[in-house]
Amino acid sequence: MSEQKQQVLVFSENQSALQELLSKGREIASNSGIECVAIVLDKREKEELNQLGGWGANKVVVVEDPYLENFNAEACTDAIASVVSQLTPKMLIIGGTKRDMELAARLSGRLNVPCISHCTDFTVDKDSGQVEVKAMAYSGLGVATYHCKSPLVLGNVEPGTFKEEAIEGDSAEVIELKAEIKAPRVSTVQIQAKIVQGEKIENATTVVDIGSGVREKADLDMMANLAGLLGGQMACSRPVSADREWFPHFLGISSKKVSPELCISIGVSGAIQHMVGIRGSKVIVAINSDEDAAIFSQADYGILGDLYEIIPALSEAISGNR
Amino acid sequence: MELFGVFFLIGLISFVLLCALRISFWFKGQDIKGIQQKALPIIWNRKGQLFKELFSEALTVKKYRKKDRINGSFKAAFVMAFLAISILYQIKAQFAPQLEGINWFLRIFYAPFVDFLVLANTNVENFTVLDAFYGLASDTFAVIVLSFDLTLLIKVFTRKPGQFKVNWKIIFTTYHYHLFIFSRYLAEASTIMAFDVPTGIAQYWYLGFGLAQVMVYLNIPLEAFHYVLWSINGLALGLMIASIPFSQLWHIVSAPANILRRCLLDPKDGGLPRGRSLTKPFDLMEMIESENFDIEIGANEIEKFDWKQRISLDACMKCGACQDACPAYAAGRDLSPTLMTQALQAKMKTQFLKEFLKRPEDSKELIGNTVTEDTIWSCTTCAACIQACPIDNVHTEYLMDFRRHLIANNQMDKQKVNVITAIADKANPYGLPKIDRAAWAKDLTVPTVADNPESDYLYWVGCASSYDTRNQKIAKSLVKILNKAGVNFSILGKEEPCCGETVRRIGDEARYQEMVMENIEVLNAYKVKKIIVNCPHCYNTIKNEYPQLGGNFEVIHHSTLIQDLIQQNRLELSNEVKQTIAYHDPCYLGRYNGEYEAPREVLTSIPGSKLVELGRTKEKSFCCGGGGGNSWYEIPERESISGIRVTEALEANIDTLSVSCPYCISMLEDSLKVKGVEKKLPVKDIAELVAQSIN
Amino acid sequence: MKIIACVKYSLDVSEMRVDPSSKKIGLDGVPKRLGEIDKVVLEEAARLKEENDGSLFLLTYGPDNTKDGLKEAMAMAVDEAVVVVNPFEDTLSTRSTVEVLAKAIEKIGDVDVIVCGETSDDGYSFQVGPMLAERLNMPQVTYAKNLKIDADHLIADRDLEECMETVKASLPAVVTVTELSNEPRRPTMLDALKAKKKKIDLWQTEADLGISNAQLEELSPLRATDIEGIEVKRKQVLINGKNAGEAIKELMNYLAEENVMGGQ
Repeated sequence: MSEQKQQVLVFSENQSALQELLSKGREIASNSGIECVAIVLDKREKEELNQLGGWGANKVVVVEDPYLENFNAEACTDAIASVVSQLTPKMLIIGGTKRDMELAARLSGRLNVPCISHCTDFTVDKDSGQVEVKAMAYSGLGVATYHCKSPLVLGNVEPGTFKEEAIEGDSAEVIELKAEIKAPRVSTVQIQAKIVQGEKIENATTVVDIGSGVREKADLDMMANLAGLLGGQMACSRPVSADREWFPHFLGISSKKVSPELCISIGVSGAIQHMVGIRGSKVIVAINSDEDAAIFSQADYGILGDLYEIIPALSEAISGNR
Repeated sequence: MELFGVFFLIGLISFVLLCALRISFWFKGQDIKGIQQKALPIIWNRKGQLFKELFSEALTVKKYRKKDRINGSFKAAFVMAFLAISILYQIKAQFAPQLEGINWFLRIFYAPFVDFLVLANTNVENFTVLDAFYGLASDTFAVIVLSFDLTLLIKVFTRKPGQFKVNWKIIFTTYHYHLFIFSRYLAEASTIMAFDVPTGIAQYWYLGFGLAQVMVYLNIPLEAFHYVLWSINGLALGLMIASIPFSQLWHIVSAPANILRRCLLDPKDGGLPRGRSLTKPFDLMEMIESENFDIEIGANEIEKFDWKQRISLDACMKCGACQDACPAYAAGRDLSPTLMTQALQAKMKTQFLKEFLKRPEDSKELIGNTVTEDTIWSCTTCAACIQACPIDNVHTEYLMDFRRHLIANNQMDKQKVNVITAIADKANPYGLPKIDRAAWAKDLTVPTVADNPESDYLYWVGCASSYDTRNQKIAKSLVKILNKAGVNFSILGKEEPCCGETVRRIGDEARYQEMVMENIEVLNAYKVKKIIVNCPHCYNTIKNEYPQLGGNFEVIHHSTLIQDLIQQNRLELSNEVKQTIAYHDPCYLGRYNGEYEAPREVLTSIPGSKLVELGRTKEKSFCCGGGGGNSWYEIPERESISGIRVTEALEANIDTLSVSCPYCISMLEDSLKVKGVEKKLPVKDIAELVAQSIN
Repeated sequence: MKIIACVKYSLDVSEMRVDPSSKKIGLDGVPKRLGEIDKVVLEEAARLKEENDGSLFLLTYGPDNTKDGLKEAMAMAVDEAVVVVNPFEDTLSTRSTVEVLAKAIEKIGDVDVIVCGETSDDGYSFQVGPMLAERLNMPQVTYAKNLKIDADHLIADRDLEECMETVKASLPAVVTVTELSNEPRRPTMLDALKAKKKKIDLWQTEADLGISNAQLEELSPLRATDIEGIEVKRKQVLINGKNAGEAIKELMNYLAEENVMGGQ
């Protein structure tokens, strides 16, 4: 078995994250002559497992055990550690959901290899076979490069880092493995699904941020429409909440702070107290008619114009794209 | 001794005892020996000032007259007449031949009723000019008193709804005083009738005389009651005097005592008009050194206020001047300085009285009972109340003591915790990184103090002008001015700390002192002597409050500096700024530090400018609502304080509203934006206008 | 009941800047302080201690001036603190940190609950907690809030993405909390001054815990060869002078590039 191919093992409890990792795994695997193997610890139909091939898996390893229910961390660690010992992996890439990250850290301890968190890229040197990993450093302030010397490279990846790509027709070979899984010392008492509606503004992925430039309360209908189209929520600056009382809360230094993917600030001047509430946003778009407004220097994209023309046009463009 | 004398004597004794009791309330729980040791020598040293004050305030109620001309003038007349007549009666009593045989001590108690004896025993032969004079004096006193009463009555009828003025309750509870007046002249009339006093004599007691004529005309046999009436008069006087300590009239004692309290304030304490710099409630260094952290901080009980604060409470006469001036009250917040002071006054009276009578109240706690948390946080510390108060009470100091109590007991809501944490961790209330503090200056020629250690001035930019994009324009304008004028200055750059004012005003005194001691070390390490500031809060704190912790620096507000530069011809104001400008006096520059002229002179030096005044201006300027930590938290109100101020500005027909404080700029601009009229009325710092005018 | 709160004297990432020319992250003069998450850790541990009449140890591994950063932390119901001094200038790796913490915890002994943050403010690796549980062979509850002790079990809610999972773990256990797990108490300055009297032990990795520098290095084979800073500056792209339709078209292009219109 010395000629057994090496693998890049991939696992995530989340299907969408798994797909992304498999696609990257496929890329690594094809570039370096190794296999991409998905580890599955939850109950699935054979059909589903085969389809993982379309996302990038050459093989799918399945471990079944009642202790694995709800992705129990101890059981999953036992399971994956066992899989690793039964195969010849070069890399073990874990996803970036909360459960995934706990698992990756435990595996690092269990397997006695370092774990690299928040990996952004993996490259295998064609000649030496050494793996170079790039990962986030200092909470995202920088990117660190690692040249891994250990026989197994372990890393976790934040969801959304890699692009998933389905290739039609590709299917994966499904292998069932047995693993010795000890009884976990942590048991699930109950699970309560989180209500998606009425979610906290802090969890919104898109925020429509309303400022004093919006004149009438009736204009909020237009804003709500935009927020709906973007799957986001509305929020506002202090004067709109405190003085006009259109909203019970506002975003700002003395109140709530958000870090959505996209924040569209409409008629917001850009005063520092409010900016502190939205500056965690990945992308800030500002719409304002005042060319001197401070918001423009604190936004990624700004439109100097009348919001009463821009917002309807924006909503139309978005719904047109659907 | 006649019955009236007995009543008077009992009244006097009661007065003395009750007065002593109520005065003891001021000193309950205080270190009396310490007070004697510290206060008495100061009072003795300032006796000249003290007498001057007593004369002008207690006698002529100068400040009250300024506030309310009519009522005040009559009050002054009343006070002086009362004193005069009391002295005259005593003198008369001592020398009256009608009192022969009565020893001099007892004569003291006859004095108020000496008219009775004179009228009863006088004949035309021994009636002198002096006697006539006394008669006139006596009844003229009544006229003054009645006129004063009338002005009070008019106040009741001219009271606007919600306005704080004299009401029926006050008039009614001083019934004995009215009884005294009316019974007196009835008694005089009745004596005149009973003893058939010849007109030649009686006419001098013209009121009594006139009344006697009316009685005769109406056929009322008043003469039968003369002894009764005088006795009633005595009773009324006795009651009146006895009631002074626990009625409206207590201010007769507490107001002069308050004058004593005021003369203890050192005008050199920060060089301020008195009462305006915050006093230091404890010394952190001493606490650390003695390792005694169990001291009480702040107040939630009357007994925690010191004797000076308690005298101030008692001296309040509910004139309502503070409430009329208070911006928080005008905005519909849960704060009326008058009601607060009165509530505390009443609480002190009832609580200590009940304790004296061994029937103590259940709750001594003030917060939540006598004042609410909203009341406490509503104050912007603008000092309009202190300015307006005829007796110089310092209302803000009670609110500060409440705040200190809340902070020391960790009873702050998230907003306040956030701002204090931000200042503690990041040296600015926005919580923005220290490393970015001088980012505003990166494209300008602004040396740091490390680069330019020999600079003449340190420009202390302050948190607002460093981090707030809008206020950064002030800093940039000022730098342009300083460079143009060739001023040798430097900034602290990213090492610049927060001056600490917000922390102190929110009530975290311990943290404030720790911060400031560090700040002073930093300034001293760089051998800083002169500091330029563009923020009146930084100005007031560094200039007047840092010395309390050992930091003594010469602090210059940028308006003064710019005025000097203009006068020295170091600035060429060549560009016209053709605008009608009104200047809004910031509280911390105006009322707190008396600087009204320099900014105005700067503005009038700008060619093309026309300076006008807003309705409420200079020491009567209406706060923008940003002080006292208010710009960092929400408080329930009917409308915003800055909204009220900008409405006033918008009605004034001006092109530009000029200020010299970054808080004012933020608050006023925000309100204009909410109203949608920010383009109509730009708000500009004087530095920005000057920078516009130079090339 | 003995509780240990593991905290970190970490770099204040908000004060770090990327040098635009060299692209390097400036580490000189960056202040260190107890992270935001560490306050949550202490609060959770303090609450557990108060509800169960226990004792609370603060444990941290860091430079010897870490002591200075603990002033306010000590006022959060901490009974005693242990600072294990890092013989190296920086944290070498999560595995070496975990080894040190584990040895220190074993030395403190008789521990019932260990509370950690899900990650540290500067390292941001999300590894120490679970690794520590693995190393100490203890059950673990991650992303926990509403901790309760019931007989000799720990019950907590795990704040996961799509659900709240209530779990029961046997003691002793390791718990990690998130920044949203509770609202930390804010000790006043005076509380901090009063807490100065409390004991802070300084332990050496070799002398007190028997871990040599060589061992620590062995546990840290992976070091970054390079760290390149990402300049997170706002792009400040201004779309001006176009009519609404064109402006929106341009904006939509940008947003598509940024991949932020995921929404529903």
